[in-house]
Amino acid sequence: MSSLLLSLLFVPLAAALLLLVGRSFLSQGAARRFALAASVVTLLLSLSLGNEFRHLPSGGPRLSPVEPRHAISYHWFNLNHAASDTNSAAANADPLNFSFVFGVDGISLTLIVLTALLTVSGVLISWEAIRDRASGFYACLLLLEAALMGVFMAFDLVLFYVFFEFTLVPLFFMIGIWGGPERRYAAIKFFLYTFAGSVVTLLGLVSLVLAASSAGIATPTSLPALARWAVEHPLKPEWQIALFLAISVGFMVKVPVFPLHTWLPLAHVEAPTAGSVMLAGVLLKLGTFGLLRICLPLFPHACQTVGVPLMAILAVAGIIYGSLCALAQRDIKKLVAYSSVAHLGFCVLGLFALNSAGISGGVLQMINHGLSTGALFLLVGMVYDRYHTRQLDDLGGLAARLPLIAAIFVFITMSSIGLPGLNGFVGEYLSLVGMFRREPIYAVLGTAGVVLGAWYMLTMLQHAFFGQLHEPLHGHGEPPIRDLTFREAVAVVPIGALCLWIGVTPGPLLEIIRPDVDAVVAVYDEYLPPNERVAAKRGRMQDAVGREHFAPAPSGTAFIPMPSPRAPKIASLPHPALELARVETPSSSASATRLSPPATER
Amino acid sequence: MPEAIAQIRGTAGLIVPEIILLAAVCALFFLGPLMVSGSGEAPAGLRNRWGWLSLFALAAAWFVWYRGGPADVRGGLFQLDGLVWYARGLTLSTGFLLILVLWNQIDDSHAAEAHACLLSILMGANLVAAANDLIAMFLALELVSIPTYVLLYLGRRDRIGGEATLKYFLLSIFSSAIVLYGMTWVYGVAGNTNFTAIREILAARVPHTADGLLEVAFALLVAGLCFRIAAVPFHFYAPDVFQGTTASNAALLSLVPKVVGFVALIRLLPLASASESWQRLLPEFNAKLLLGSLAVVSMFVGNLLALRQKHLYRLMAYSSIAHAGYMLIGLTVGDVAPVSGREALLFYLATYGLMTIGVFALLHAATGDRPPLQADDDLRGLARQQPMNALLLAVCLFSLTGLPPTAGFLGKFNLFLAAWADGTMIGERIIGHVLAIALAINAAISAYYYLRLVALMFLEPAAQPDAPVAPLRFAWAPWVAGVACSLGSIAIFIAPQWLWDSIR
Repeated sequence: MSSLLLSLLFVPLAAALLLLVGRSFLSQGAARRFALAASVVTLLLSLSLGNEFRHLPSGGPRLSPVEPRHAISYHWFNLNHAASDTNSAAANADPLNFSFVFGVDGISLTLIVLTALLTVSGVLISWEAIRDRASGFYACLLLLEAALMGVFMAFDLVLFYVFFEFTLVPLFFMIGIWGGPERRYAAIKFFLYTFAGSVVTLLGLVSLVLAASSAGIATPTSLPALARWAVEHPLKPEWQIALFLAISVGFMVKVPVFPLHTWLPLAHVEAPTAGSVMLAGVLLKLGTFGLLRICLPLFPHACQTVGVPLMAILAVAGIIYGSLCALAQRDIKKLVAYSSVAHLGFCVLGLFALNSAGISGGVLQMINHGLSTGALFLLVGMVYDRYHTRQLDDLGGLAARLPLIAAIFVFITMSSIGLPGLNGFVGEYLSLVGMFRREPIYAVLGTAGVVLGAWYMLTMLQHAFFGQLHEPLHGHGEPPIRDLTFREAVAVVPIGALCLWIGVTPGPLLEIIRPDVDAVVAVYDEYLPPNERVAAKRGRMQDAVGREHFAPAPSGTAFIPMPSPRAPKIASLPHPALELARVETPSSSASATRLSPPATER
Repeated sequence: MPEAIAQIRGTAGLIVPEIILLAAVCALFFLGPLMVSGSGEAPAGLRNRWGWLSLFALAAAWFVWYRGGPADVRGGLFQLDGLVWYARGLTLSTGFLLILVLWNQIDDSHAAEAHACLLSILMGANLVAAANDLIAMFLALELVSIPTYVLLYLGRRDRIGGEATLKYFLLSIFSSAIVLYGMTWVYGVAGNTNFTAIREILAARVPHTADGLLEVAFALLVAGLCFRIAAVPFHFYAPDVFQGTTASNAALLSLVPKVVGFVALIRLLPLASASESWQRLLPEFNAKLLLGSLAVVSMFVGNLLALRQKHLYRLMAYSSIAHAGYMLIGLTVGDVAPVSGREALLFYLATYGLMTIGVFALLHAATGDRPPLQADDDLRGLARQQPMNALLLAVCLFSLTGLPPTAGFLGKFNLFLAAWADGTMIGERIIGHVLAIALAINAAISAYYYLRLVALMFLEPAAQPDAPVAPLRFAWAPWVAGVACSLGSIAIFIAPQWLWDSIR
């Protein structure tokens, strides 16, 4: 297990370094075959990690809201004073220990597999498109994969930040060297924008680490230890709010949350197809993943008082604004890029519902958006490879010429706009349900985005693929337009299959993330006043029976519908009702979604 | 008489690495002229011989230092403690890199003198750390300055070089005079030149009797030494001098004076602020205010002026000013729990040395014997012509930005920790928080100009793709230095513990 985890990091890293060193004598063909082999090996490793993961104990009492099911840690360095300073306060303080903690839990497992899958697709889609300095390109792609794996595996604040920052470098080169005509400006803007945001995050993390260290935590950067400390000794409310705001700035830029999103359309449009796929598919998830990993468990008070209104308003604004922008675009890639702003708005909305349904929905939405938007970028890239244009005005009725691509495009579009039976529906539905229980107004407003989403995606589909056939002039020297090739099919079909699978049976996936989601939700249980806690338990019982998913919230603000295994304080004295709930609910949310109540049908 | 000999022997025993370097310096100065004919003609390849000789001498000094290990000896003219051990290790180790960068930058007939000057600068830097006496400290500081003038002149003997040398010379002696004046105020209060004695006398005096005098001494010492670390407002020479000199001299100027300046500040400031503790640096409120504002101003001025620079060496000069500001944060914070600003500063010095020497070494290695890369446009398309050099240079530039996984990130991270841990209040605000926020803003600003260089190398096509390029004569010495710097900065990121341990 440990070696599997590390190999996920080091296989792509080593392959990238080999490609970098060998770029002078590796031909384009050799480089891409090598990259494909490395990414496939990584994918297989990630799948076998998933296989091993099933054998790990999942339930059981937890000590902390964030806890890896399996972790390995290495000493990195420690900061303490020389023993000679006996007269100083320094000698009494514990040393600050820094270590590399790699681990895996359900949430990170799903994202790791997603990363590995999209990297393979990225290599395949670049097969012909990248001719110049191919070896360097694949090195960047694999380096990016390694960095993303590192972020998802990090259970240590500093390690998390290190990988989080490092993702900028390979993507900067990918956009800047192999991108479109405006690539330099796009790459520099992308880098500086996100770097500036994450410097603020670093400041917040530093003060958090110091606060934990002065409170006597021996490993103040380890996430499980920090989260446990934050539950047992909640920080002062004003500190929580300050830290929450500082730390989430970097994540909000990365997501990107509404007013901070301006770098995204530019970066997407200029990036090469594989870059867009990785950027939309995985990189944007770093922001929401960071919010889920760090902000939600550590600053419960701030999340409830400031986080819910702030993030929900920005998310709703992003959903509506992003959708309207997408509606106005004539460039398909830019349209998909703006749709990302909207989709991630749903994700943030779900996360800041702070209840089980919402957070599960948010995590699902991360995966769904990665799959469907990743696939959309792949498909747009395929069209671009054939016609060298992405303008809706130049294209029309392509279904006649490219029937297979058009069929897959329609399928993925349906998944993206959230047709029931496909993956997008489950994530959006759960997110909105969660938010409805916390603050109904935001959920109602967010639902408008679902309608807008269908509007812009279907308009685009209609323009590009149906109606009169309208192609750009085709040069004589160029090869004839072919439909989906085998290579492209291998890149995109598995993603489509996963979309369908998640849409039909989201249960297994929800089951993987459930213990980790519930552990985070448990933090918010503690915050309920006593009378609401009783009501919450009643709600749980109803949920447990699975009869009435839409139990009216006893209070509009803080109703926790799902059972939560145990917050640390409860762990010592198990409450009978809680125990019952825990036994009864393994897949309550899953069963609820299987029933697919038509309440939020659009 | 035997007593005096024993005293000399005892003192000399403390500075064995420096004596080895001194022997090499003497040998180079004496033998150098003999190998050059009367008309200034030297046999081709002579510089290689002198280079190997000085590398060998440095290796011997390094070996003696390494075998000696950290010791604790007080008294006399010199002392040994952890700081001496660390500073020696730092100057001797970076000395190898500096010799390698100098290797091809000097013509055969002047190689002996140039290497001798470099070695004596390193020797002076070590003695600054080891000095335990105001006189010894001042002599050591001059031992750094005077060879620097010669080295600057030897490197480039055209009009611009002459102007740079003269500018450095005039401002440097001016700053030395200020340091000397500051020392006289300390002497005036204590009546003794020995650090140990001064400390005892100051500790025994009636409290607050000579605070005003000591504050004057403090301000003068800071003013004089800030010239060396190139902090604003004593930075004016830096851009002009960097622009008018060679890569090796610019590398030297960006690092060694900083090491000397910060070590001297760490030694002298506790004296001038009459701190009782022997090794600990605990600036008082006024001192914090002074050093902290110097830090903030240096960071902002350095980074903002660097944004518009077209000349690479000038840009690196402003970058060096900004880095002086970062490191001054460590000095402002001093030794507080749980992260010591002084240690963070010393850590940053080592990482900064790697990054900045790496940049100059690789800029030099990219051209070999051809005219050096100086305008930023010269970097255009470097990644196509010399992919490996461009990659290594990018690592150094990212390290200067403070991006993981490089040592520059750890350096800034430690400074963040140290600054944030400092709880001294200034009015309503906490000094440490102000410094940390200023550092964060500046890290973001500086990302722009470093990234611009990386973008020029990787994203732009070459300026004249069709121009016939003379086959490059591969310059191995600066290349080895550049590789060592960029790989070293990644290695320090992965395994920083040994560096921390050696600072303590």
